[in-house]
Amino acid sequence: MEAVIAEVDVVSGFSRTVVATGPPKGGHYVRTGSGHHARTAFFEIVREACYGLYHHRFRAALSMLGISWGIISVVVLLAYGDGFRGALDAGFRGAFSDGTVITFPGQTSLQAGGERAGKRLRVTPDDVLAVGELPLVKNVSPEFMQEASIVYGNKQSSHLVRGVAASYGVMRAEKPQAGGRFLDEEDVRLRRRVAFIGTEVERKLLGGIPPVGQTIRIAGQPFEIVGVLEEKVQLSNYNRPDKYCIFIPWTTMSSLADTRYVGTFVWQAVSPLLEPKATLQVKELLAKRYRYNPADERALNMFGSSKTNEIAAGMTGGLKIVLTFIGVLTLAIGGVGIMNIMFVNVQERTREIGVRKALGAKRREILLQFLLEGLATTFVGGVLGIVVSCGLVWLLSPRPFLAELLDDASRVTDIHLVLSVQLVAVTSAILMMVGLVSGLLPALKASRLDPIEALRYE
Amino acid sequence: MKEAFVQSIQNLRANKLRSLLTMFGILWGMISVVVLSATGEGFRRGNDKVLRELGKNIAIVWGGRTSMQAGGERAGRSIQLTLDDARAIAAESSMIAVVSPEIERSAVNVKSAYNAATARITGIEPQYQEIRTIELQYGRNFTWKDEEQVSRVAIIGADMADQLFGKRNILNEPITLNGVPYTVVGKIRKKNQDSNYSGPDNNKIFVPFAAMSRDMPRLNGEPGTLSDIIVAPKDWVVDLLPQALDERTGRIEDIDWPFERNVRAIIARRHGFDPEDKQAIAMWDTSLQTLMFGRMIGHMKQFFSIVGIVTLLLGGIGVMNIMLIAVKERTREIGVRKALGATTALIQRQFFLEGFFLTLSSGGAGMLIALGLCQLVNLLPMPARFSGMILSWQAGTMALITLVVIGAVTSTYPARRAAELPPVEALRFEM
Repeated sequence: MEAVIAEVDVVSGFSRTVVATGPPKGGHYVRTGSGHHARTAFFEIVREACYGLYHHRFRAALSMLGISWGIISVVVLLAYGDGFRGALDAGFRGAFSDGTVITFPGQTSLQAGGERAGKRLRVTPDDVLAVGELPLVKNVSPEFMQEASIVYGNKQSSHLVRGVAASYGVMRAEKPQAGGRFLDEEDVRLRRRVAFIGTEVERKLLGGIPPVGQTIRIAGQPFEIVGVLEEKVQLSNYNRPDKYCIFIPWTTMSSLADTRYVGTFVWQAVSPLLEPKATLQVKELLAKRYRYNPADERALNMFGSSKTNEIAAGMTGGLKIVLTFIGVLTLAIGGVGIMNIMFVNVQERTREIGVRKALGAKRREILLQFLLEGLATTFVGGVLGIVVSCGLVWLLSPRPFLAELLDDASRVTDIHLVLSVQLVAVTSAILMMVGLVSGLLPALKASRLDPIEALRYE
Repeated sequence: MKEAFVQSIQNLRANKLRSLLTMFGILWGMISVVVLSATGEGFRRGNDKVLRELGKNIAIVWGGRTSMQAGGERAGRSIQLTLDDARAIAAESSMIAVVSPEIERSAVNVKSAYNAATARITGIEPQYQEIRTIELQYGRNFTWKDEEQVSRVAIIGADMADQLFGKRNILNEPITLNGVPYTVVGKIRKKNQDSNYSGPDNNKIFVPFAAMSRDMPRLNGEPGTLSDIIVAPKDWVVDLLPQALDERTGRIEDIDWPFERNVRAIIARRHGFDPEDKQAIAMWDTSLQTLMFGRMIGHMKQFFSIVGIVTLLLGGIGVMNIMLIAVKERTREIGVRKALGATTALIQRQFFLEGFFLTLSSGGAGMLIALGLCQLVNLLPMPARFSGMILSWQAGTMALITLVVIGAVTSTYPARRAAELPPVEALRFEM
């Protein structure tokens, strides 16, 4: 009796196809398909897959390298994209908190109510308080700006003084350093001569002396320092970054400058989502008070957090599309590499497949075996890739971006590559897809081989 | 050589699917190199364009207030720049290429035949137009003749022109500035300017310096004083900036830039303040911004190129893997050919060419596809600070060189393996 059987070498754990005469001794028959042998059969399949990988270890290693490489490039690129957004946000957050809009009175450009266009709009503190009464407006502050000579002891320099309300601190994210505070309601109500100063002002005038409680002279008048601004990184500003400024109550400002008309005013919508609606309300209110066309674009110029968000999202969006595209397709190359190698494997083992089919192996089993081989390669390569990219992300971070431009010693505005859970989840999902597709196609090809043709294959 | 080439193609065609899949790896690697590098270049150019709108590498000098006692005078004295200061800087500084004085008046009442506006008027000398990128949509720029004749002519920013004239042609239209009649000689093209020192140029009206100082001198300043002086440094001064930046010991803020020192020293001598007194004049040097932005984008480009090349290398691994398999499969063929007298060098060349050809052709195709892709993307509207995807020839050459190197490296190893097979073993080989 002559039979072609698949014999499993128990010692080495590898199987090979042999032509045996008579019943084999000590070997295991590869018996597949029967119900109570399903477990054994599955292990056989796993073993076959392992054998396949081991036999072509160099090949498998190169394919795994491909997948790892792909994963690393996806993760690092996406982390770079996230870091880019983070850096921009950090830079803009210094300018103002969410829902805050800075409004600059301009001039009318549309003719209205018998008046010519080109009339300069002058906004008074009363108008600003009226804006604060609007239902969608949470905080409001007038702002007067005046360059003034500042003297402390025998040191003198010139700085921008901003006269503002207490809520300005919240809206423009003016955080005081420990031991100090921003201006409060009482300061404004009682017209106190108190000042909140930027870090550059402190550096220039006080240089090491504990600032809170000290008295400086602003245009000759004494003001007590109540707080110093924290180190603040600011990607956008009007007139000057806050660290060069001095903030005093706007009610006190009248002794330094003409405060009949505000320079700008800052307000905050009750929620960032309502900012567009609130903007309309503000425009309508002032248009009614000054009898101009509310549709006049140039009467009030507004710049708010929704605009900076838009800028940041726009810049990041474009970059992220490019990065994702490149990353995902790089991973796809790794997948194609695996598919390619698996196709070759199927071709090389055509006769083996023929033999196994002739012995009664089902299509499902052949499919599973090759699929497992492909998946195992992807999986091992992918896990290695994720581990390496964790290290790489840590190693590469931060990448230089805005910190040098903004003279930011803390480097929060550089690109910090961060591996978020979301990012790993997305990458793993893509990886699974890649593994499945690149394993499935060759496995399908193997399972569909005609046993007679396969046996004859040379 | 030709025979080897033909045989390579035959072998590649014999395994179509395999060759195609392998080629895809390299193809994609090349696309990603080109796309990434073109994106980086687009950012660089877009940024350059925006910086140029204000004026690339110019500095604006304002008078300040002294903060140090000097020559018997107390600190806190206000320094006002004059036309003579501008002339002195032009004559004395070795670092300066161009100087222009500037006088500005805000809230001037402007009237055209159709509408009125309140505008900021700026008086400038002709050379200002070049360094501050005052480019016209139509009309003519100011010349020295306008200065000599003190002509009452004006060129108008795009938005201001819209407000005063709507969509009409504004050439030779009369306007009045605080009641004084001027003639419009040009309209400035719409500018996408994201930084300014006294409002965007789109909203301004420019007139010759001579006419400005006669008709609209500064309101709150002594007679004959300027709002500011615009200076442009020579190229070598700008080239020295990175060195000053890298050699700094403290914060960037505290660097005393050589150009600023030079200008300050000249003004200090004329106004009698301490040349070390940084607050006596204020200077905004845009070449610093240009430098910083340039470095920022340089870092991004560098990152992108590395990622691109890494991707291309990945394609190279695929080629090597497949070539190794090809060598193994054709072991017997190699044995036969060797037994028939083929030399080691011949076999090596055969396999090398096959891999190399595979790499180059798919890389070349990838480059073409990528260029097409760039063209397609460039049809879309572009955001600010991005000029579309542009492949610079340096980046293109770099990519091609990388491709050739990868092709050579990944084909050499399998070819060497093939060539070193002993013929007897090879003939006996069974898959």
